[in-house]
Amino acid sequence: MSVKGFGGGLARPGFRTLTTGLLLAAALWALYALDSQIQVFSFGDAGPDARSFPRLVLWLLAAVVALRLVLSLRREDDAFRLRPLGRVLAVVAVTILALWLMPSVGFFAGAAGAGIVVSLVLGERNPLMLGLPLVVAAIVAFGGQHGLNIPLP
Amino acid sequence: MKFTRRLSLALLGGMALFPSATLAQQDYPSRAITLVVPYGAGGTTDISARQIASMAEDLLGQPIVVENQPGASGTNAMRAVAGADPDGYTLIATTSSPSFVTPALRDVGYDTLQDLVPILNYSGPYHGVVVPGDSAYESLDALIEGAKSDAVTYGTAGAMGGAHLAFASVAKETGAKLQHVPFDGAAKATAAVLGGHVDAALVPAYRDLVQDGQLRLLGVLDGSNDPDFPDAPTLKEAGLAAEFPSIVGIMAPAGTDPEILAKLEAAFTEVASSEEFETFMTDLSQPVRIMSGADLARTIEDNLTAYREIAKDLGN
Amino acid sequence: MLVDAFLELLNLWVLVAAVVGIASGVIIGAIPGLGPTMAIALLIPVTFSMDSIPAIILLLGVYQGAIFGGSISAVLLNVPGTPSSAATAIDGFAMARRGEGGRALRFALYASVAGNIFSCLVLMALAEPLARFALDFGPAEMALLMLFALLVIVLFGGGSKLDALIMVLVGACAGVVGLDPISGTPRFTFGSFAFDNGFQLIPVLIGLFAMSEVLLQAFDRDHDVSDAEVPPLKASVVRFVELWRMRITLLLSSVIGTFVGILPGIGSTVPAFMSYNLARSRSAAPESFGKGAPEGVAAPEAANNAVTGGALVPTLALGIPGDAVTAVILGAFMLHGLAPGPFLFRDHGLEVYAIFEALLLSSIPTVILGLLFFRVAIHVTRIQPRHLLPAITILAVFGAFSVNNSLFDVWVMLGAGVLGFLFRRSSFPLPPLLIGLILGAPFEQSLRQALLTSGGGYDIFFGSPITIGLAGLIALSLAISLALNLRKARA
Repeated sequence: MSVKGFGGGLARPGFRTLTTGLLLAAALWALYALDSQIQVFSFGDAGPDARSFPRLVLWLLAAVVALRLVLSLRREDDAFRLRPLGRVLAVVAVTILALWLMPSVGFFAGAAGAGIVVSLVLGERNPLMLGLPLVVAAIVAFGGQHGLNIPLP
Repeated sequence: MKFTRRLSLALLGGMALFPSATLAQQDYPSRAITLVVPYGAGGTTDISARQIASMAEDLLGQPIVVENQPGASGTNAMRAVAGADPDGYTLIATTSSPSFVTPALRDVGYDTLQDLVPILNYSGPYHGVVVPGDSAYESLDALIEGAKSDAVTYGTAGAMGGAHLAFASVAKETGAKLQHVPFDGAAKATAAVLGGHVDAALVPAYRDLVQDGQLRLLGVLDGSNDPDFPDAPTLKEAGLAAEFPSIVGIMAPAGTDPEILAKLEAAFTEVASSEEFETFMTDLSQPVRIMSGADLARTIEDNLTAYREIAKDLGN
Repeated sequence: MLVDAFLELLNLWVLVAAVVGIASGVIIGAIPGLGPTMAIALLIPVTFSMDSIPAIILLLGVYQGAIFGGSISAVLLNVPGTPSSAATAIDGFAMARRGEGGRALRFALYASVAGNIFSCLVLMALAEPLARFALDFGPAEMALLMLFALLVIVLFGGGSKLDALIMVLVGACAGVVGLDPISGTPRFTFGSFAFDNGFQLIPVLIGLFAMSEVLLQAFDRDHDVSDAEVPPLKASVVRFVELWRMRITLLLSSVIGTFVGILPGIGSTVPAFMSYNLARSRSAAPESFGKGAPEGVAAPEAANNAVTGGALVPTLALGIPGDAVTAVILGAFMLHGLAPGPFLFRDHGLEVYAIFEALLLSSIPTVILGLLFFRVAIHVTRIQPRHLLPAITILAVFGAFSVNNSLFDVWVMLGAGVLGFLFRRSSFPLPPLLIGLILGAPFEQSLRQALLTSGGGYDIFFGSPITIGLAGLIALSLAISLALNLRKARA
């Protein structure tokens, strides 16, 4: 969270540029796909239809994001560091895997597995403490299923 | 009621006499039954389903677990139950909208008549045509006549709901300029008509506001009169060829064994026609309207066809 | 009448119901994803066999308790338990990081109680006239009001206005996904049924705040084994003078909360952020906000708790619930023979006033229970992140699932988590995104409803005293913001 000062010339692109660029791309793609994604049936109603508001909002978004990109070209950005980014991707990947498997292996196994990997990624090396996610997942699964009547997978 | 009880006895007797019936049907139910409610916990559909389930537990001898699967105005839960094992252990307590309104409009991933079997209907709130208490429209006729010169706006609980489609076909038939304004739920449509932001609204749960004089009931969208207001005509009685019958019923996945279905229908019918259930529903301001599975299937079929017609006229 | 009603409360069961209700509400509210709606729906069957007064007191206790409970996890973990406590997290968590978690929680507790008492008094005194007034807010009025709320969030949120605007627009775009509110056609659903329902608020909230926290910590961890520094717990005394100093903030926040609560469909998150921004711009030291200002905790808490009393106004006086929670409460009232609507006060005045008095008096058990609960909860801040975050991951998955009992919402939660990580890493503010998501779709719907009722004429937005007043407010806030900017530029 360090966006400070003005560097000389163009700053090295980092998180902020990446996020802004992604937003711009998403907005432009959505504008392009708008007509195929939103069908309009006419009831002869007056006023804006199902496409008007999304189109307006997307144009506005694209415009302000472009403005942001231009304004912050010279600002120093929060540069990427590869190792930490790898850890983030590991957490995301394991959660995706857990969700993917959840319908077949159940909530307890999926959630406990994800929890254990998260604690490993966060630097847990004590094998006893790795049992903690197991306990939490067991409590949540049992309490949710029986106490709160939620049909967990 | 006597008839159904005798029927269930006869069925039980029949099963005892003919041991050739497979074991599974004889034992049914041998474990907990899941009753899916396609709306969130705490709504009237949910509360009444929980009540009928807890009362039927005693008759069936197994617990009935109510499971809420809200979302996409009930079609998600209908699709899930339509694809469930037809073993009688997964049932759904459903309403008009996912049974015959939404499926008539777009592909929802199931066919109510092909993929599900109705067991019985036990409730269904009346939808009324209401105008503010000081409105100039004294009757449905006056409203339609008024709409021929100046556009009349009406609010409903949402786009493409049964109430909207029923009035859209009225507008088409009479040439009246009825302008639909969809709200996010019936409560907000009621608030809008009370505040005079729309000229009329098609909503349930109007009784106290009408009796207090804040709203005036011009008619009901249902096939029969609301017992609380026998003078309010149905649309058909008022000479308009449209209706929106409201159902709340229990269904099972298609392919469920007929004997299991008969057992369930007998048990639920007995519970639904009890005095205890009637008192409970009166407290909830919901009517008890019992219809057999076969009748419910016919109602759904008729309306599915009718709504498909309306949707075709509207869409293009 | 008031005395008779009070006599109804002299019953052990009433006290038991209030305590059980508040305690379970606080606990359920503190768990991300589980909110008052679910808690009340769960407890309704339990109340079937109870007398009507204790039953309703139990359920309303859950309602109030859950709104407050959400702020406990917001303050201690930076994970708002309910959407309405997202504003509390900003300064509450900053205080907790300084070791002042206990103080932040106490400010939240006392402000909550103040908001409750205010809105409850309003409910008792003015339910019927206010319900009438709320009916004057039609689609055009609501559209302008929501536009005003969006402007306040963008203009007075502190930080870069451009960033806030981007985030509001991102939220509004996310709100487009699902079925069109007017014509019912799918929008950006990619032909999938799962998208029909759109992105639900709670999974997005859990992703943005809880899951992204896990990802941020995974990114920031520099050392491999050593323990992270834990701030020492500081004394958590809150003196009455400190609260008295923020009396105007508490009053204004309560008024905002109650007023917005009366109107259907906005909920308690938006007034919490509006009060926060108002408190910030009125403050003598606005730069302290976001860095652990007690007033930044008190203002949103007073507002989101005041919403409870406001939301009961149309629910009880007209039988028209404004949101999911009050719809469930309406059902509970009906089941206990107290049908809300025009006849409620006439036919069941005694019971209703007894319930209102119990709501006022329940402040006492709320404070006692809250203080007891804090003694345990405060130690959460001393747990190492690597022990805490796996548990948060599991709870996030569970909470997102429990909203609709569907795995799709868990995927939404994960997606929101990745986005939240990117946004927080890039120092884009998240609150405007939340507000954009909450208000985007209703704003579009109100706008189009208004144009449908007017036959396409835009004059409806200037057609009533309320719309003209709101348009004036919008112009005024634009002018103030411009003036402030000019002054800053000159200085």
